[in-house]
Amino acid sequence: MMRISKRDWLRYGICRCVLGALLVSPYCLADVPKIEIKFSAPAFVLPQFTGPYQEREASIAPEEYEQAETMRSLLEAGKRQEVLAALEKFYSIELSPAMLMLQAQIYFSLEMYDKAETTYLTVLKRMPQLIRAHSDLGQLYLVREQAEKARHHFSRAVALGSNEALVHGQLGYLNLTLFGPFSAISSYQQAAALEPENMQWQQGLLAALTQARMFDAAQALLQDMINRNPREPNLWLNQAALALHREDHRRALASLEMALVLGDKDLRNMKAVAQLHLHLGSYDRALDLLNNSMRGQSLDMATTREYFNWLTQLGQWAKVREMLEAAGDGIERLGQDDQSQYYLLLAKVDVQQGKMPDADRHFRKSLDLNPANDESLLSYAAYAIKGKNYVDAELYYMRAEALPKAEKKAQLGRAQLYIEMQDYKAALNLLRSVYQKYPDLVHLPDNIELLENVLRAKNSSDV
Amino acid sequence: MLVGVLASCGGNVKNQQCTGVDWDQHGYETAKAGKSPRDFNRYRDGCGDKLEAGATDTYLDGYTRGLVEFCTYENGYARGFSNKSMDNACPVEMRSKYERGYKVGLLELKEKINMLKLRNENAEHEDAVDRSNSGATPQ
Repeated sequence: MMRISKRDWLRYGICRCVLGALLVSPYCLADVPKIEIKFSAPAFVLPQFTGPYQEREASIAPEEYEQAETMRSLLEAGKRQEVLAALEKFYSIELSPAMLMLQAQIYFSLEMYDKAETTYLTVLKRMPQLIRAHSDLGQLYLVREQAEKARHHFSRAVALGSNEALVHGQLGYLNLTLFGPFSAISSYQQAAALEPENMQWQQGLLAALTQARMFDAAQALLQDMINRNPREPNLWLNQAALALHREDHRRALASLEMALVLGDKDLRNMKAVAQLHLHLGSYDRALDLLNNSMRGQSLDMATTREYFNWLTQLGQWAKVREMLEAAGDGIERLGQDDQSQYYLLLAKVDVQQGKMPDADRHFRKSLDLNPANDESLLSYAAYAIKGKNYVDAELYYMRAEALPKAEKKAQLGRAQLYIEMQDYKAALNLLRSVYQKYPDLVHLPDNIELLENVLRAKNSSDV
Repeated sequence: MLVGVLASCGGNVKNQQCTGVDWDQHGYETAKAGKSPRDFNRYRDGCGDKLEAGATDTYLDGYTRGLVEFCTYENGYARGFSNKSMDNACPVEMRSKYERGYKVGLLELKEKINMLKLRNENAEHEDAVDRSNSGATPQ
């Protein structure tokens, strides 16, 4: 019988109270009434190990004592091959399971996995309840990426009474991978109970709780981990991920910002912070972060494009220009295609802000750098229509039609151009041809019919 | 003709059959007879590369199965009672019952011998008493 001291229980009780308060209202601790919880003293019953337990351990045979001593000296001198050679002189049945275990472990350490596996299995044929053989074999299968077999042997080791945190932790990991979070939680808890200081088990438990959508438990665990390691950026990132799962964007943002302060440099995280700031309307901080993320490394057009889309969706054209101008310093280091993309984005901002001469210049620069930039051709054509520069617009649409990726959009754009020019016959012919090629454009027949009606009306009025 | 002679050897090397043996049964019987697993050495050494693939493992499987039946209290007792030295054929994890039987057998044998000795001594003593009662002078 074992008892926990009153002081420990008191400490536990206080923790429970604080934890309860946190779960009820994380931001208003002062408003939470004082809750007193009285626990009855727990009783622990130690398991009574009897005879069969001996079958779970292996000892060497008395006639092997001398040989074992020699081998110990050899192993201490790092002569594993010599020990192996000595053991291989025997038939497996002549060696005790303990000596066979030694042989298997040496094979394992020398990465002779097939022989190690055979030897472990031989041991288990003779002693099916040998915990060490099950846990070692589990490790071996884990190394060989045979997850199902590894799981089987770890679970046997646990069923036979293994009290190694590693075995419980590995079982937790395999259960999480093979069977989902619910089967992993208990194993990770066991591992964490055996090794409370090992962050690996707590992180495994956290992953399992999160995947099981047990967010309250996950948050409580995470809070405890953060309290113990407040300067660990990964924990703050975990908290951010958890908050995102719970759609608590403010908490997610605060946690991500904390991770950044603590030195997290991952570009994706920085992007996530910026995105959250945009979402919550703090545009200046978002732009700072975007600029920082672009300054910190070589300019990446995919990222720039992503930021461009976020900001334009929010109508933040001035911020887009700031961002593009900040990014412009590294433009010469980009390839011609990427430079073409950059000037296209700039041209779009110019159009939006009514800076037409700049827009024209940037469109031309974009097309000079990459004459096959389909998006530039389509955007420049649309821009030309706005300026009633129909000849140029038709030319750019026709150039875009030569590019398979842009053909459909370019033909539709050209049809629109003809309508703008009131050349309904040309528009009708083009739309009929587009519909023949792309029958999935289900709205076209209506447009075609409309144009046919317009033409009919026009012809009758002419007559 | 030569081909026929070679074929009739059936994989034998130096009169040792190297293939076609029921290795599992052979191992089983070897263990049940209380013989050492090294009995297999004659195949291993005699056949070399000619030994059938997997023969050793199959032999050892059969041998282990045979040991389970051999390493019993009764067999240990019989060996002790026949006053033979205790061999180490039984692996450590199967040894306890066999050893206990052996010790009991040996003990009972000693007791039986002691009983016989005692009985002989008594008989001799009774003879001597008889002889003195009948006035005969001991030689």
